[in-house]
Amino acid sequence: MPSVITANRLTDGIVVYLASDGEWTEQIAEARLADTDEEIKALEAEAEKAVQERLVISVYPMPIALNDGAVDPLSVRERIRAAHRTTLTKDWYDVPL
Amino acid sequence: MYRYDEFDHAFVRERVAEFKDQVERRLSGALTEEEFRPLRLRNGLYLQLHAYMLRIAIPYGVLSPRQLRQLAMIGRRFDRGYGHFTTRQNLQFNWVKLVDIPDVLAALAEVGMHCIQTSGNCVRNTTSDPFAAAANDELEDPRPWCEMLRQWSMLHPEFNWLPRKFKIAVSGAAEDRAATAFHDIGLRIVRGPDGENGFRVLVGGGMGRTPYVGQEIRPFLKKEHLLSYVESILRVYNLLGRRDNIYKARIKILVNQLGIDTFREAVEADWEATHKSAVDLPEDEQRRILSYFAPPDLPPQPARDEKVGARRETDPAFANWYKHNVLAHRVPGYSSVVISLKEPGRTPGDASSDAMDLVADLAERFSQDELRVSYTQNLILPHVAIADIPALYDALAGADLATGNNELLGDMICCPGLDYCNLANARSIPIAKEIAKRFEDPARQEVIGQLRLNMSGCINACGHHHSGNIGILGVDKKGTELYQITLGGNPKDDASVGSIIGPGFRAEAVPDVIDTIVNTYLENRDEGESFLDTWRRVGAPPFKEALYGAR
Amino acid sequence: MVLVDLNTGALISDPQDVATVLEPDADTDALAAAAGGNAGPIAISFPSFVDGRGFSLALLLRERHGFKGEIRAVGQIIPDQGQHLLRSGFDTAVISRPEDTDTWKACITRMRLNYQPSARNTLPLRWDASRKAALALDKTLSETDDLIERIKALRGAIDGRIAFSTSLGLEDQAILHAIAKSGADIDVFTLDTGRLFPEVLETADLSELRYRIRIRLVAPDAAEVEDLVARDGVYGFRQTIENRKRCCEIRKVRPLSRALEGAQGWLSGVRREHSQERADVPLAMWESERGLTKINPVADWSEERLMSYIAENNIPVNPLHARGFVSIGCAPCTRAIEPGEDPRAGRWWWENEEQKECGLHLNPNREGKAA
Repeated sequence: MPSVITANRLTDGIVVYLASDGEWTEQIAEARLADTDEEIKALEAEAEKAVQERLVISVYPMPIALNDGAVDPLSVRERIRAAHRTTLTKDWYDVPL
Repeated sequence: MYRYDEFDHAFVRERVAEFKDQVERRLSGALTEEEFRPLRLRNGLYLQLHAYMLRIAIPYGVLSPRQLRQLAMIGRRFDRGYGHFTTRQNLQFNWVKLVDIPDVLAALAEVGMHCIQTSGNCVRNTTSDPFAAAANDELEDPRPWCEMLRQWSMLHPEFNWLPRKFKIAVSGAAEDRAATAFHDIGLRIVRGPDGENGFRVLVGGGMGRTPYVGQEIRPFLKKEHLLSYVESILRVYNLLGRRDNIYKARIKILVNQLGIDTFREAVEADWEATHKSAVDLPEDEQRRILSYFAPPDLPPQPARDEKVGARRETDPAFANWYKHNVLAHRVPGYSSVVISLKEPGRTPGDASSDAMDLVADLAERFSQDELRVSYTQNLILPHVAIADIPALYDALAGADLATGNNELLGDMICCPGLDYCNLANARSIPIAKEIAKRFEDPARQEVIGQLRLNMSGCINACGHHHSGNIGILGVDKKGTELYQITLGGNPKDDASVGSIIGPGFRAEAVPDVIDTIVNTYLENRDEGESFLDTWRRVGAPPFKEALYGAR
Repeated sequence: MVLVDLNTGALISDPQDVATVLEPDADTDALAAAAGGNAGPIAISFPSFVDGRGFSLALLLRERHGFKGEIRAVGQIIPDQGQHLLRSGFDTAVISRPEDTDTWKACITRMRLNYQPSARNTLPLRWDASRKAALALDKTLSETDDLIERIKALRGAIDGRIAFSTSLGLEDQAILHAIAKSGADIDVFTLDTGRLFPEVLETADLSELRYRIRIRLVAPDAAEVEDLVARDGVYGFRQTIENRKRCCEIRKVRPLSRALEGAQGWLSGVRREHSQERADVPLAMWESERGLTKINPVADWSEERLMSYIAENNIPVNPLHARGFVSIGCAPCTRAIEPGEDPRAGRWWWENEEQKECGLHLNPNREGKAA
């Protein structure tokens, strides 16, 4: 199962993902995919460097699904994080932010 | 209310400077996240799902209009224009930046507020009855004693690194409106054998994964020994509480492992050996603090107001709101008004900065500059003249703050859940909203009567589900949100923990489930019975039958 | 091992060996044995900085077992806990990361105010009876101009030892006279820095004979002085302000601290006219740092008032005053001044005005301002 690395930015806590260009992006769509355990390990090592450099905290790899090439976080929790907002269920109630 | 003097102001400023330095050391790398985390928590700063969350103490639920306006300003300037009133008389901002925190703290310090010990394994904000000095069933105002506890607990050198968090609640009225039985220490002001007031001391209550109702450790404690006795309880806990397992580290586990009698012996032995005069407040200092809490000077007025009576006749929405949200006051001609933050469709407990500004204005106009925050996540204007009620209502209604559902089903307690919280397993806000929609009709809520519905998004029970007449607990089952129902909980005098009624339900089913439970109650209730009365009389079978019978 | 003094944040150069190490699960018997064994340092071990049992153990050692010796925190602790340690009864802490030394000092000296009393807590307290008593005494003293009455009043207001640090200067001689006349029991001492003018000692001798009061000579630690001179040279204080302050520290500040230990009151001859820095010193104030009330019974006197008091009472004074010396410290650091010069212009005349305090009368209650 493909995975991405996610974390929170140290200075403001915002959810970020390790992107293909080695930067941290707020958009999960730009996250770099890792397909094998080795690739995940390599990304984790890169993320650990970012922790040392005090860019991000609370780093972890997270498995995702690909739907027509679009990154889909598997859990409710990760969907909420990726959306950067509260309450996903459109037909229930949508919090204006 | 208590006013900071030079000392208190200087103390908070020192603390702001200290935290500013800690943030700088974190940003410079002098502190690792592992070291910084307990330090930031001790200043109310969490890393949540989306961002940092800052929890601000509203000591024993008392706010001034000036403070509320400052909170509104902070919401606008450093957050997204709203805040969340919690179940422990705190206010949370959900989107503050770490780099802004020192400025936020400085802004709070300006109005005599802080975030000290709103998190972390230390003594938290002391909570109390939001109707203190207004309710007509009060034996004694609990707030001065809360303030003494607040000052005593601030950066207490011995008790800043406890096995786990520690919560104290104080109530001074006949009815317990502070849920004292569900606190690590619960203090009830009672009349003693010699006619003097003192404290009945409960210990080891709590919710979370293993809920317990607090047990009596001392039937009567002289008021002057409050601090030394609380200190002895904390010392025994600090030394003996478990530190190897976070889930067994609360004092309730220690009390239940040792048994209340053994625990009491240890506390009393320590207390006997204490130089009480060195710990308990000197009399003049007690008097100084007490003097801040003189009740406002309210000249008695006619209890009935014709205009209010006429409005109740002609305006059903006003009449409904008046019936539930306008409460009796000890002075004739006055009332305490509950401003519901539970309008259907809104996140329970959330208030926008605009709403905060408005309520601050109304407190100045109508309530002697006084404001309260309740653990049921509403705001309260404690001292409103009856004759002012219509004007107050109109001002509130214009801002959608006049929902007449106080203590009814719609007045749900609800934690932020998985929409915000890093610990949550399931969402709670959308469920609350859906239930609110289902029971939107005030006439139906009227038929149901008083009913406490509490919901938590995880086992930590910030939404007090254990003490709800109906409790909803969100759990995660293999990636799906499931909701467990408990029935029969009660936060008040004959406190009880709710019982799980059966297997959990999927999110979409929850409104139907609540509907079924309510209908079962209505079918079974005898004349004049509350939900709790009926539950205690008939027990689980009819509810189980209604919920699971078809399976 | 790097050991920090939790009261000051200074490093301790020659730590004593620990007599007992207490683990966080130590029971009453273990505490009693440790406290009773000897006065050697007791170390309390912290397996993790979030494990706060050690704070209660220190408190129990102090308050239940009457232990007066050094209590040392060892193990995993962080600088931000320095205050908690001190106020629970610890004296020292072993710094695990030497690079944190400055942070420890900063953390220890940063938070001054607190709400809880405890054995070693000399910091300002919320409901501090001592502070209020000092304020009341200040008011009482201001109600009379009679120095003897003032001495009687302050002696009556303070329980325990009152120490008078005299430099045998004009103010101090006036105070000594009033002490003798009042009959108040006050411990009089002077700091014998090893660099005093012979005239100062002559004045002390004369005063002892006249007033029948023993003036204790409090000397600096000989080893410290030897180290200082070996390092900076005989007159090393002339080279840099740091050197000069170190000299003052060893010859005056530390001996003073020793002499004041355990005293409840501290009399000094500071006057408001002395300098800008002293312009608003009160007659009496609670000095939280030292845990005593500091009294400046002639703070509000003018020079004129002082001189006429001395003349009226025929009080013996240091003959150097007649030769243009006003504020008299150590011989190498004091010169005579010209008429019209600031009274303290004759002290460390090569230095800037703001830095000219030896450190004896620094007011810890006000940030960065000397009193």
